[in-house]
Amino acid sequence: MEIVHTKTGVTETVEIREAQPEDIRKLTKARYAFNWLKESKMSKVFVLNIRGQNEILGAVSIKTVPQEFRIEINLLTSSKENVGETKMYAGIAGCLLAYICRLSVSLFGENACVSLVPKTKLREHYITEYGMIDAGWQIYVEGASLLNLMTKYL
Amino acid sequence: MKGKKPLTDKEIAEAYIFPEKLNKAQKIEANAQLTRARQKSRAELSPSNRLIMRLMQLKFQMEDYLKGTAYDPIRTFAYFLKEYLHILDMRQNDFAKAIQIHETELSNLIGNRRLPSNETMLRLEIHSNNYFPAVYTHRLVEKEKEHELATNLALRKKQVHFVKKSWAIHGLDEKDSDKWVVRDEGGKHGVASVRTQKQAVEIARGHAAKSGRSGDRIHDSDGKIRDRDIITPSRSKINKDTKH
Repeated sequence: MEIVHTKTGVTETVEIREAQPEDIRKLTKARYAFNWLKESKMSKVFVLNIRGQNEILGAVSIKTVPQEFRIEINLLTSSKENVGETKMYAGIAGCLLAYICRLSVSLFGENACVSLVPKTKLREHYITEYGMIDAGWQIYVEGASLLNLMTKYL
Repeated sequence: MKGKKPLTDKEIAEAYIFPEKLNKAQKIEANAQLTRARQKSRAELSPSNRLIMRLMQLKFQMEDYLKGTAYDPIRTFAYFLKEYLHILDMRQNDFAKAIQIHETELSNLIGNRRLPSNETMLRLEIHSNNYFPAVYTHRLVEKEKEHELATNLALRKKQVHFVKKSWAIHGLDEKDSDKWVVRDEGGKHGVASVRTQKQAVEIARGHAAKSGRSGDRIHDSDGKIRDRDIITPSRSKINKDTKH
């Protein structure tokens, strides 16, 4: 998995791992947009960093719904410096999403599915950017769309 | 965000995902909608994509297992090979023909009675279109072997009789953490306390020769027998291996 430095075009290999308590402490609301301490008590959190570096560039929280062969994404963030037109790296959210798709395939094989309940005004962007499928309130990837997402970012 | 340009919806979507808050009725409706939509997309999933996803699952499970340090007696090469054939819905003799190995060899591999040769590992990789990489097979076998070496005490005990001479530098105390301590067999009496591993080894050799003993081993601070070239002076210090 790689992210791209927006100014130089240089790619960096990233790693994603389950967040440890010391990682959660680093995920401040000021830099990572949400209350991750609270989130970590209800969901499983994963963090992204460039291989060999400690700095967390993104985080995602999920809930697994085994009876539906599905993982639901609750929150996802890029760190403050990687948001907007001046962002340092591109592709952080895509890598985190693809990693969750991988996790879903590892757990559920051919039935794997990743879903989320997006903000109404953002729904179209997720559909365009990640090939998500519209299911009313929720959007999701499974089958071909899930494979495409993994092929693009993994 | 004072003084900063507000983010566009596209920029927000590129950086964040956060949920729309739904009430109870909306949640029920949302779940019903998702179930219906998924039924449709599952029905449209092509057999080849179905197969790819199952093979990916196998590969990811191997990757995750190999990444971790824990040993799982179930997750052997034989187990993953069996799973591979199950996914392909392939009989053993057909697979043996497909990769041109003898049926008995395949049966031994699946029964975990034999280790795969390099040729078999590579043929498996080629047959699986890299969903079963040779490197993964090698690591699975290594992981089993590592566990066997660490836990087969009977085999270890048996091998002691074949070794006529080995090293003897015994336990290192915490208080002596910056020094190498040479001790008597049993580790009770300190023979010498020196700064380097080389000095310790020389003293140990001399002491063993004088005392006429041949059972000479190198232990670490936990009392485990270590490689003869690498002795850790303490848990907190970097190895002082001067030979490599």
